[in-house]
Amino acid sequence: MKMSLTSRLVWFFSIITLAVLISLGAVLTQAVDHHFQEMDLSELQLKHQQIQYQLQRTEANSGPVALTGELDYLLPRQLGWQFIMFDKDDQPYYASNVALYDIRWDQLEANKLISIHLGENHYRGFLDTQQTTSDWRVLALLNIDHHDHFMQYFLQILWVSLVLAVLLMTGLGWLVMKRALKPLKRMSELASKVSSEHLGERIVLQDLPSELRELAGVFNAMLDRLEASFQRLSQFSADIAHELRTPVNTLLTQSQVALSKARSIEEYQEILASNIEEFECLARMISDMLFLAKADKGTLIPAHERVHLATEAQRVIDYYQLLASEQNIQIKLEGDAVVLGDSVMLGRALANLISNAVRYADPGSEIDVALSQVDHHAIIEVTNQGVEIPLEHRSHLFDRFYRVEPERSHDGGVGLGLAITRSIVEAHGGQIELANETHKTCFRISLPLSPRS
Amino acid sequence: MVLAFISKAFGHKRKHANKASDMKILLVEDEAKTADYLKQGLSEAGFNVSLARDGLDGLHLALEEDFDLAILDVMLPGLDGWQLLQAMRKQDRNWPVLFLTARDQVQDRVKGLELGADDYLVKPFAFAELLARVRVLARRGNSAVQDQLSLADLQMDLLAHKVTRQGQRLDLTPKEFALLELLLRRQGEVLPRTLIAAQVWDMNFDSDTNVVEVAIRRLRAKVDEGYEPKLIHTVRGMGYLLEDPTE
Repeated sequence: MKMSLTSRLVWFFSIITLAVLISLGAVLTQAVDHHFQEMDLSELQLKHQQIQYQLQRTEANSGPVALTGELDYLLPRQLGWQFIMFDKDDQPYYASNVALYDIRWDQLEANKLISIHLGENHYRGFLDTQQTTSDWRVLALLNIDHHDHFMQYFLQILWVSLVLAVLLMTGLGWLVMKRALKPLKRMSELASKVSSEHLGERIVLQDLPSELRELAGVFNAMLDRLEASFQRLSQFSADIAHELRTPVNTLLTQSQVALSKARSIEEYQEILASNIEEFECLARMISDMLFLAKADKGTLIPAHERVHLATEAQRVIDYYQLLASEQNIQIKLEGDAVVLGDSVMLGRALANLISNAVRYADPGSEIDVALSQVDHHAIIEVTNQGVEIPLEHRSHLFDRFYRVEPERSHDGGVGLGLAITRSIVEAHGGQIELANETHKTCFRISLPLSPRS
Repeated sequence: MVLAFISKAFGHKRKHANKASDMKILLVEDEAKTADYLKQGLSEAGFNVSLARDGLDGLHLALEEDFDLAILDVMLPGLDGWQLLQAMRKQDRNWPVLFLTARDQVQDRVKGLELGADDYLVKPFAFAELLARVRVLARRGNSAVQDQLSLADLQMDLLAHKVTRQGQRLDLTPKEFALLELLLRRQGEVLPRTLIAAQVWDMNFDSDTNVVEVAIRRLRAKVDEGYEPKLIHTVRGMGYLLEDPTE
């Protein structure tokens, strides 16, 4: 499992703090050490000048023994000084400490600070190779134990504060992270609450930091889409159940009543024939719903052939004209348009609209089917004279199972015709709309000449 | 009176399509009730039906006997309809094949037709529709070109585009002529409304079949009104039938 975001961030912060503090400590240590060396150097150089002066003055009037006495006086042991005197052959002549006789002149590096340990004590010296007139040369050593002690103490303080700082950083970082990531936690709590019963939950965007607002917006939009499709789905299932109940109930009652007593063959035949009518209605409903389900899934893929809309429309009109002339209605066709699409599907869409127009047209009136080509679209308009569709029904007209007049459900299908028409039009990348005028109903389809080219 | 034709609708076929009794049909369908009723229906329509209830049995039967037509369900246990068809074709069993499918997906149709199926029906389908298609497939190859069609005293001259009843000329519109031609060519068969809409008006999708009713009513007015016996009959719940009831 991956580490949580909080612990990961805290971990990063702690490591960064540690690294920064260690570098800072190293720089400080270096600086202090350097400062001490400078101090020692200037003290040693000052002493060196005094020694040179003493050497010149004493050498002229007395021997080396007197010189050592002078040097003992100039470099007092109780103040932490030690020294060693070399003769002109670079051999140690006199040293303030026995251990110093081991030092060879040629082992010493010139013009550099020299570090020498005598027992437990730490000394620093400086060998000046400036040309002098004297035969003698002196290496003065300064005790720097107090520097060492200070450095030790300084490092201790540094380490302790470093550990404390990291611990503090970890703790505080954790608290801050918790606080900063609270909106995320709220989002996840909300997401865990979302279920089919609670699809209405949304994240309040105003409370969120700007970085999360976009994510939350996308999340909300996803919930919107889910809720819409879920509602459509459950509405559709409810509608199906409702629509199936009536014919199934009829069939059940009819068959049970038929069996409740012995009947003549003619009666049985009558009942079976009536059952067939109900079954045919059910079968048509099922295939219509499968068609719509395919459209919903996006698997309704129209063929890609040249369709002369006038030819298709004429065929459909020839068919429905028979029914229309019963009411003395004339169906007129004008114009033409050629689109790339599926002739069977488009024929079905046309048939649905024309059948609809015939059903609601005034007797003796005229139905107009107008085809035209505007810009890159083919326009199909089917207009009939007749009572216009009431305002409250217009927005639902293309919904499944929606009927303007529920009581007239039995003569014209189950209210899937316009939904199927819309699915076909949309599968072709087009649009369908209703244009109502006074005492006129006009369905207008707009199809791109070549969908998804 | 009309109802009497229901019982006749299938049984009658023995007389008209007396060749049907020689027709052997292989039916492969796993759904028990459907299979039994299909077998009964087809047998009563005069066909000699052998039923297999799964793909392997079906293949067995196909390799053992000779048939004139195969009706295959697509979803079968053992061997599905497509595989069965392929196996049959491999063994040179080249009878016409009609598929019954519950999945009306484009890919299925394409696949079926690529494999050499001759027709397909999507469930749920009307039995009359199946019967009509079976007869078309069964007749395939032995339909002689005719220019005269007739039933009782009804005569149709296809070349002269002329129809007479009892010697009197009937004035028909082109669509009425096409409708009557269909009824005459397939006389004695119950033709479902959807089949009529598809054949005469080329309406190959579910449409308002009230139109067919109107068309039949008008045709009947011209063909049957004032004449005896009545030739155009409605078989309720099934479709329309052209036959001479006195025969």
